[in-house]
Amino acid sequence: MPSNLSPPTILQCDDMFDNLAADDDVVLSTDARIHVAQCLRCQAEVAGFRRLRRAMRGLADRPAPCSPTLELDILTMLDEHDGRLGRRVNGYAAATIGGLAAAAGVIALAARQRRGMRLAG
Amino acid sequence: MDASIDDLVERAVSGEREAFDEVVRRTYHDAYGLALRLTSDEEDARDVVQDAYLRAYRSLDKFRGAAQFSTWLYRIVANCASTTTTKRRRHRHDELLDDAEVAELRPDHNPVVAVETTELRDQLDSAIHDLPPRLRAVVVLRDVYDMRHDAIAEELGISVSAAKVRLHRARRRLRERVFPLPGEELHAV
Repeated sequence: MPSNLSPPTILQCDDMFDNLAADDDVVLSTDARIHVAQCLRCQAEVAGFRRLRRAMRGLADRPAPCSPTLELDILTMLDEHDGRLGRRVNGYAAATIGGLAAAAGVIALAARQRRGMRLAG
Repeated sequence: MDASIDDLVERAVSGEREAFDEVVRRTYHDAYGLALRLTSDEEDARDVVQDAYLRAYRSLDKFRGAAQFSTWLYRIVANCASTTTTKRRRHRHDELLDDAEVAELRPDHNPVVAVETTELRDQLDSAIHDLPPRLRAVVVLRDVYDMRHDAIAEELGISVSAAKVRLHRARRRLRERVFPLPGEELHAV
Protein backbone atom coordinates (compact mmCIF):
# COMPACT_ATOMS: atom_id res chain seq x y z
CA MET A 1 0.00 0.00 0.00
CA PRO A 2 1.50 3.39 -0.94
CA SER A 3 2.32 5.66 1.94
CA ASN A 4 0.96 9.20 2.17
CA LEU A 5 4.03 10.25 4.07
CA SER A 6 6.50 12.26 2.02
CA PRO A 7 10.04 10.91 2.04
CA PRO A 8 12.34 12.62 4.52
CA THR A 9 14.31 15.52 3.13
CA ILE A 10 18.06 15.47 3.40
CA LEU A 11 19.21 17.79 6.15
CA GLN A 12 22.64 19.34 6.29
CA CYS A 13 24.53 19.97 9.51
CA ASP A 14 24.13 23.74 9.09
CA ASP A 15 20.34 23.34 8.93
CA MET A 16 20.49 21.30 12.09
CA PHE A 17 22.52 23.92 13.95
CA ASP A 18 20.08 26.65 12.95
CA ASN A 19 17.06 24.62 13.96
CA LEU A 20 18.54 23.65 17.31
CA ALA A 21 19.42 27.22 18.23
CA ALA A 22 15.93 28.42 17.28
CA ASP A 23 13.99 25.62 18.92
CA ASP A 24 12.82 26.30 22.48
CA ASP A 25 12.59 22.66 23.49
CA VAL A 26 15.20 20.99 21.26
CA VAL A 27 12.61 18.56 19.90
CA LEU A 28 13.80 16.84 16.73
CA SER A 29 11.63 16.41 13.65
CA THR A 30 11.63 13.12 11.75
CA ASP A 31 14.13 14.50 9.24
CA ALA A 32 16.35 15.75 12.01
CA ARG A 33 16.26 12.43 13.85
CA ILE A 34 17.33 10.60 10.70
CA HIS A 35 20.19 13.03 10.20
CA VAL A 36 21.31 12.93 13.83
CA ALA A 37 21.31 9.14 13.88
CA GLN A 38 24.00 9.22 11.19
CA CYS A 39 25.99 12.27 12.25
CA LEU A 40 28.22 12.25 15.33
CA ARG A 41 28.81 16.00 15.21
CA CYS A 42 25.09 16.73 15.27
CA GLN A 43 24.59 14.23 18.10
CA ALA A 44 27.10 16.23 20.12
CA GLU A 45 25.40 19.46 19.06
CA VAL A 46 21.98 18.22 20.17
CA ALA A 47 23.40 17.06 23.50
CA GLY A 48 25.10 20.44 23.98
CA PHE A 49 21.92 22.40 23.32
CA ARG A 50 19.87 20.18 25.62
CA ARG A 51 22.39 20.58 28.44
CA LEU A 52 22.52 24.30 27.82
CA ARG A 53 18.74 24.64 28.01
CA ARG A 54 18.58 22.57 31.20
CA ALA A 55 21.35 24.56 32.85
CA MET A 56 19.74 27.87 31.83
CA ARG A 57 16.47 26.88 33.47
CA GLY A 58 18.40 26.01 36.64
CA LEU A 59 19.84 29.53 36.85
CA ALA A 60 16.46 31.02 37.76
CA ASP A 61 16.65 29.32 41.16
CA ARG A 62 20.15 30.52 41.84
CA PRO A 63 20.05 33.47 44.22
CA ALA A 64 22.09 36.52 43.32
CA PRO A 65 24.14 38.05 46.14
CA CYS A 66 22.18 41.10 47.13
CA SER A 67 23.08 44.24 49.07
CA PRO A 68 21.59 44.15 52.60
CA THR A 69 20.37 47.74 52.22
CA LEU A 70 18.47 47.18 48.98
CA GLU A 71 15.18 46.32 50.67
CA LEU A 72 15.35 49.44 52.82
CA ASP A 73 16.32 51.57 49.82
CA ILE A 74 13.29 50.35 47.87
CA LEU A 75 10.88 50.91 50.75
CA THR A 76 12.36 54.33 51.52
CA MET A 77 12.00 55.33 47.88
CA LEU A 78 8.35 54.28 47.97
CA ASP A 79 7.91 56.32 51.17
CA GLU A 80 9.35 59.34 49.39
CA HIS A 81 6.94 58.77 46.53
CA ASP A 82 4.07 58.68 49.00
CA GLY A 83 5.34 61.78 50.79
CA ARG A 84 6.08 59.80 53.94
CA LEU A 85 9.66 60.99 54.43
CA GLY A 86 11.48 59.99 57.59
CA ARG A 87 9.18 57.06 58.28
CA ARG A 88 12.06 54.66 58.28
CA VAL A 89 15.53 55.15 59.69
CA ASN A 90 18.12 54.17 57.18
CA GLY A 91 20.50 51.52 58.50
CA TYR A 92 23.56 53.62 57.84
CA ALA A 93 21.95 56.66 59.44
CA ALA A 94 21.01 54.62 62.50
CA ALA A 95 24.56 53.30 62.78
CA THR A 96 26.00 56.79 62.41
CA ILE A 97 23.67 58.27 65.04
CA GLY A 98 24.40 55.39 67.40
CA GLY A 99 28.14 55.75 66.87
CA LEU A 100 28.06 59.49 67.53
CA ALA A 101 25.99 58.98 70.69
CA ALA A 102 28.43 56.35 71.97
CA ALA A 103 31.43 58.60 71.22
CA ALA A 104 29.79 61.52 73.04
CA GLY A 105 29.14 59.26 76.03
CA VAL A 106 32.77 58.14 76.18
CA ILE A 107 34.02 61.75 75.98
CA ALA A 108 31.63 62.86 78.73
CA LEU A 109 32.68 59.96 80.95
CA ALA A 110 36.38 60.69 80.45
CA ALA A 111 35.86 64.39 81.23
CA ARG A 112 34.00 63.51 84.43
CA GLN A 113 36.75 61.13 85.51
CA ARG A 114 39.42 63.80 84.83
CA ARG A 115 37.42 66.35 86.83
CA GLY A 116 37.04 63.82 89.67
CA MET A 117 40.79 63.14 89.68
CA ARG A 118 41.57 66.89 89.73
CA LEU A 119 39.23 67.43 92.70
CA ALA A 120 40.72 64.44 94.53
CA GLY A 121 44.27 65.66 93.84
CA MET B 1 -0.23 32.12 59.10
CA ASP B 2 1.63 34.15 56.49
CA ALA B 3 -0.54 35.66 53.79
CA SER B 4 0.02 34.30 50.27
CA ILE B 5 1.66 36.52 47.70
CA ASP B 6 -1.62 36.63 45.78
CA ASP B 7 -3.47 37.91 48.85
CA LEU B 8 -0.80 40.50 49.49
CA VAL B 9 -0.91 41.70 45.90
CA GLU B 10 -4.70 41.92 46.03
CA ARG B 11 -4.50 44.01 49.19
CA ALA B 12 -1.77 46.17 47.68
CA VAL B 13 -3.90 46.75 44.58
CA SER B 14 -6.72 47.92 46.83
CA GLY B 15 -4.37 50.53 48.30
CA GLU B 16 -2.85 48.86 51.34
CA ARG B 17 0.71 50.12 51.41
CA GLU B 18 1.92 47.70 54.10
CA ALA B 19 0.87 44.81 51.88
CA PHE B 20 2.98 46.17 49.03
CA ASP B 21 5.94 46.51 51.40
CA GLU B 22 5.61 42.81 52.19
CA VAL B 23 5.39 42.00 48.48
CA VAL B 24 8.68 43.89 48.04
CA ARG B 25 10.30 41.94 50.88
CA ARG B 26 9.29 38.63 49.36
CA THR B 27 10.20 39.38 45.75
CA TYR B 28 13.13 41.78 45.64
CA HIS B 29 15.83 39.09 45.70
CA ASP B 30 14.45 37.49 42.54
CA ALA B 31 13.91 40.86 40.89
CA TYR B 32 17.49 41.83 41.70
CA GLY B 33 18.74 38.50 40.31
CA LEU B 34 17.03 39.19 37.00
CA ALA B 35 18.25 42.80 36.92
CA LEU B 36 21.82 41.71 37.64
CA ARG B 37 21.74 39.14 34.85
CA LEU B 38 20.34 41.69 32.42
CA THR B 39 22.68 44.55 33.29
CA SER B 40 25.79 42.65 34.45
CA ASP B 41 26.45 45.51 36.85
CA GLU B 42 25.56 45.60 40.55
CA GLU B 43 24.96 49.35 40.73
CA ASP B 44 22.84 49.33 37.60
CA ALA B 45 20.90 46.34 38.91
CA ARG B 46 20.11 48.19 42.15
CA ASP B 47 18.87 51.21 40.20
CA VAL B 48 16.83 49.02 37.89
CA VAL B 49 15.15 47.20 40.77
CA GLN B 50 14.27 50.43 42.57
CA ASP B 51 12.93 51.94 39.37
CA ALA B 52 10.95 48.78 38.64
CA TYR B 53 9.26 48.71 42.04
CA LEU B 54 8.38 52.37 41.78
CA ARG B 55 6.82 51.77 38.36
CA ALA B 56 5.02 48.70 39.65
CA TYR B 57 3.69 50.64 42.63
CA ARG B 58 2.47 53.49 40.46
CA SER B 59 0.71 51.16 38.05
CA LEU B 60 -0.72 48.60 40.47
CA ASP B 61 -4.19 49.51 39.27
CA LYS B 62 -3.20 48.16 35.83
CA PHE B 63 -2.16 44.79 37.21
CA ARG B 64 -4.51 42.07 36.04
CA GLY B 65 -4.89 39.29 38.55
CA ALA B 66 -4.97 36.72 35.76
CA ALA B 67 -1.22 37.08 35.31
CA GLN B 68 1.26 36.05 37.99
CA PHE B 69 2.64 39.04 39.85
CA SER B 70 6.21 37.78 39.38
CA THR B 71 5.71 37.61 35.59
CA TRP B 72 4.31 41.14 35.58
CA LEU B 73 7.18 42.39 37.74
CA TYR B 74 9.78 40.63 35.57
CA ARG B 75 8.42 42.43 32.52
CA ILE B 76 8.80 45.76 34.29
CA VAL B 77 12.34 44.86 35.38
CA ALA B 78 13.19 43.84 31.81
CA ASN B 79 11.87 47.13 30.50
CA CYS B 80 13.82 49.18 33.06
CA ALA B 81 16.97 47.17 32.41
CA SER B 82 16.60 47.70 28.68
CA THR B 83 16.41 51.45 29.21
CA THR B 84 19.46 51.38 31.48
CA THR B 85 21.63 49.24 29.21
CA THR B 86 20.69 51.36 26.20
CA LYS B 87 21.83 54.48 28.06
CA ARG B 88 25.01 52.74 29.17
CA ARG B 89 25.74 51.58 25.64
CA ARG B 90 25.57 55.13 24.41
CA HIS B 91 27.99 56.19 27.11
CA ARG B 92 30.42 53.33 26.86
CA HIS B 93 30.19 52.69 23.11
CA ASP B 94 29.31 49.12 23.88
CA GLU B 95 27.78 48.82 20.44
CA LEU B 96 31.30 48.21 19.16
CA LEU B 97 31.34 45.06 21.27
CA ASP B 98 28.00 43.76 20.08
CA ASP B 99 29.46 41.71 17.27
CA ALA B 100 32.66 40.80 19.05
CA GLU B 101 33.34 37.13 19.52
CA VAL B 102 32.92 35.69 22.98
CA ALA B 103 36.38 35.10 24.38
CA GLU B 104 37.83 32.76 26.98
CA LEU B 105 37.09 29.13 26.42
CA ARG B 106 37.80 26.44 28.94
CA PRO B 107 38.60 23.35 26.89
CA ASP B 108 39.81 21.51 29.98
CA HIS B 109 36.31 21.66 31.38
CA ASN B 110 34.32 18.48 30.97
CA PRO B 111 30.65 19.52 30.79
CA VAL B 112 29.40 15.95 30.67
CA VAL B 113 30.23 15.43 34.34
CA ALA B 114 29.61 19.01 35.40
CA VAL B 115 25.99 19.38 34.31
CA GLU B 116 23.86 21.11 36.91
CA THR B 117 26.84 21.70 39.16
CA THR B 118 28.02 24.94 40.64
CA GLU B 119 30.98 24.96 38.30
CA LEU B 120 28.75 24.74 35.26
CA ARG B 121 26.45 27.44 36.54
CA ASP B 122 29.40 29.69 37.27
CA GLN B 123 30.67 29.13 33.76
CA LEU B 124 27.24 29.78 32.30
CA ASP B 125 26.78 32.95 34.35
CA SER B 126 30.16 34.12 33.16
CA ALA B 127 29.29 33.36 29.52
CA ILE B 128 25.98 35.21 29.87
CA HIS B 129 27.80 38.15 31.46
CA ASP B 130 30.15 38.32 28.46
CA LEU B 131 27.35 38.39 25.88
CA PRO B 132 26.55 41.74 24.28
CA PRO B 133 23.66 43.35 26.20
CA ARG B 134 21.11 43.00 23.40
CA LEU B 135 21.78 39.26 23.06
CA ARG B 136 21.99 38.75 26.81
CA ALA B 137 18.58 40.25 27.46
CA VAL B 138 16.63 37.95 25.16
CA VAL B 139 18.33 34.72 26.16
CA VAL B 140 18.00 35.46 29.89
CA LEU B 141 14.35 36.41 29.61
CA ARG B 142 13.47 33.44 27.41
CA ASP B 143 15.65 30.60 28.65
CA VAL B 144 16.13 31.48 32.31
CA TYR B 145 12.85 33.25 33.14
CA ASP B 146 10.65 31.55 30.52
CA MET B 147 9.13 34.79 29.25
CA ARG B 148 7.09 34.59 26.05
CA HIS B 149 8.64 35.81 22.79
CA ASP B 150 6.01 38.52 22.30
CA ALA B 151 6.43 39.79 25.86
CA ILE B 152 10.21 39.96 25.43
CA ALA B 153 9.85 41.85 22.17
CA GLU B 154 7.40 44.29 23.71
CA GLU B 155 9.50 45.04 26.78
CA LEU B 156 12.71 45.43 24.78
CA GLY B 157 11.01 47.55 22.13
CA ILE B 158 11.87 45.26 19.22
CA SER B 159 9.93 43.01 16.84
CA VAL B 160 9.25 39.38 17.66
CA SER B 161 11.35 38.28 14.70
CA ALA B 162 14.26 40.44 15.86
CA ALA B 163 13.95 38.93 19.32
CA LYS B 164 14.08 35.43 17.83
CA VAL B 165 17.15 36.26 15.74
CA ARG B 166 18.95 37.60 18.82
CA LEU B 167 17.90 34.54 20.80
CA HIS B 168 19.25 32.26 18.08
CA ARG B 169 22.62 34.05 18.09
CA ALA B 170 22.83 34.12 21.87
CA ARG B 171 22.11 30.42 22.22
CA ARG B 172 24.72 29.53 19.62
CA ARG B 173 27.34 31.63 21.36
CA LEU B 174 26.53 30.15 24.74
CA ARG B 175 26.57 26.61 23.42
CA GLU B 176 29.92 27.20 21.70
CA ARG B 177 31.35 28.74 24.84
CA VAL B 178 30.03 26.36 27.50
CA PHE B 179 29.76 23.13 25.52
CA PRO B 180 32.35 23.48 22.75
CA LEU B 181 32.47 20.71 20.17
CA PRO B 182 35.83 19.29 19.10
CA GLY B 183 37.59 21.95 17.05
CA GLU B 184 35.55 24.90 18.30
CA GLU B 185 38.05 25.65 21.07
CA LEU B 186 40.72 26.20 18.42
CA HIS B 187 38.52 28.53 16.38
CA ALA B 188 37.61 30.70 19.34
CA VAL B 189 41.01 31.03 21.01
